[in-house]
Amino acid sequence: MRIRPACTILVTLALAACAHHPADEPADPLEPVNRAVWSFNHTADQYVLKPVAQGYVDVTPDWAREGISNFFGNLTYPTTIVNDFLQAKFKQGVADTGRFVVNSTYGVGGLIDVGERVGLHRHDEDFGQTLGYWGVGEGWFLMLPLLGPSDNRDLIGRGFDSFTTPTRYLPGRYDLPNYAVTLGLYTINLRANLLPSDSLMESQFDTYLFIRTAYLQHRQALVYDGNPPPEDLGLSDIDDSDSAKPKAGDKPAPAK
Amino acid sequence: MIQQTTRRVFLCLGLGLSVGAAVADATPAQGADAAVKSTTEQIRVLIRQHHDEYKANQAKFYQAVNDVVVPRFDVPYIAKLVLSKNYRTATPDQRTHFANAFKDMLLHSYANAMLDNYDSAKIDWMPARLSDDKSEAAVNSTVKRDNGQTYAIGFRVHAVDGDWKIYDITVENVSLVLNFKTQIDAEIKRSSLDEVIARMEQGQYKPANPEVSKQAPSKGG
Repeated sequence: MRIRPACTILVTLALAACAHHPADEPADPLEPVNRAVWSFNHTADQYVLKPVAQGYVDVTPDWAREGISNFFGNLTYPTTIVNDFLQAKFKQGVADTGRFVVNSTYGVGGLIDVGERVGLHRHDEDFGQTLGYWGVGEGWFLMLPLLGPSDNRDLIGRGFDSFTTPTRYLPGRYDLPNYAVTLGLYTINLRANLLPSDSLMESQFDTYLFIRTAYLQHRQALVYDGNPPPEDLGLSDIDDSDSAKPKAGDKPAPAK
Repeated sequence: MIQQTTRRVFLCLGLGLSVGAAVADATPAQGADAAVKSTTEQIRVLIRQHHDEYKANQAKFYQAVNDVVVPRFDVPYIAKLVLSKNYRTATPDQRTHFANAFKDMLLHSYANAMLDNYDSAKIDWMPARLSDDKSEAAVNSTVKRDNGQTYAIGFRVHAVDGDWKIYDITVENVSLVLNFKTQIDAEIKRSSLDEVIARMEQGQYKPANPEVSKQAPSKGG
C-alpha cells in the first residue's frame, strides 16, 4: 500500500518531463548510464539470448514458429483493444475485438491467424501510444536492463499495459514452471523474429545511437498509425552559400 | 476600391501562372512512383539474369549497381543531409570525398543483401504522394517476404534536372538519413571529419556478416 504514493509521484514526475524531441536530437540525459546498460544487454544477448534464439529457429519448422508468434500476438491483443477505445478509435476497437474472438476460437487459441484471412487486420496499440495520441511527448530516452530501449512515456505505458494482459489474471501464473516456460518462450520468439536485422545492426557506426534513433522514430510512427508527419531532415542546419532558402527546414528545397 | 481588388486579382493570377509555369518545368514527366519502381525492376531483372555471375564476381555486381541504382539517388544531396551541421564547415573537397565514401559504404553494405534476397520478396507499390509544389514526393511500398513478414519501405524523392532522385529511404518509418546523420555527427565529434572519411574509404565500417566482410575490399579492422 505504501508503494502507491511513491508510484504516483514518480509517474507524475516522469510525465512532466515528457516533451517531444526530434529523433535525431532526443532528450537523453542518462546517456552514460544508458550506454552502460546497452553494452550489458548486448553482451547478454550475444552470449545467451541470440544463440538460444538461433537454436530455436534451427530446430523448429517455420509453421510452428508462426503459430507461436500468432499465439503470443493474440494473447496480448486485449491491450490493443483497450487502447483502441482509449484513443477513441471505436471502429477499430470493435474490429479488433472481433479479431480477438475469431482467433481465440476458430484460430485454436490464437495459433492460427484466421482474422487476417477474413480481413480483420492486426493493429498495434498500447498505452504508450495512447499517451502519445493525446499529446504526451516521449520525454527521456531510456535503456532498460534486459528489456531494451524505452522512454519515459513508454515506461509508464508498459506498466499500464501489464494490467490489460490477460495472463496477469490467470491463477498460478507465478508458479515457477509456468512462468519460466511462458516468459522464456515469449522472449525467445521475440528475439527470433529480430534475427534477420542483426547484420543491419552490426553495420552501424554506433549501435547505441542507431537503436536510439530507430526506436524513437518507430514509436513516433506508431503513434501516428504508420503515417507520421515527415521528419525534418534538418536542412536548416546546413545553410551554406546557396542561401535564399525557404525558412527553417519546413521543406527541403531541391538541390541545384 | 473595385479597381484595387481587380488589380489584386490580376496580380495573384499572374503570380499563380508564373508559379505554375515554374512547376511544370520542374516536375518530371514520369511519375515518381514509376521512376522508383523502374529502377527497382531493372536491378531485379539484371540480378535474375546474372545471379551466378554476380555471386562469383563481386566487382561486376557493384558495377551494375553503380550503373543502374546509384544514378537514381541524389548522392550529393544525401551527403549534405547526413553531414548536416558539419556540411557548413567542410571544404568542397571534403564534401565530395565524403559523398563518395558514404555512397561506397552503403553500396558494400546493402548490395549483398540485395543479391541474396532479390527473389524472396514481393513488392506492392502505392501511388506517389506529391508535395504541394510538386517538386517532392513520397513513394511507399510494402515488401512481403516469403516467410510472411511484411515491411513498409518508403522513398523520399525530389525533382532534379527533370528526373526524380531518391534522397531518403525509410524502413518501417525509420529514416536512414536521420539515422546516419546522428551517428556520423557523433563520430565526427569523437575524431574529425577527415578521419571519418578515411575510415569509410578503408572500409572500416562494414557489415559483420562474415560472408560479406570476407569479400568486401577492406584494409582496416
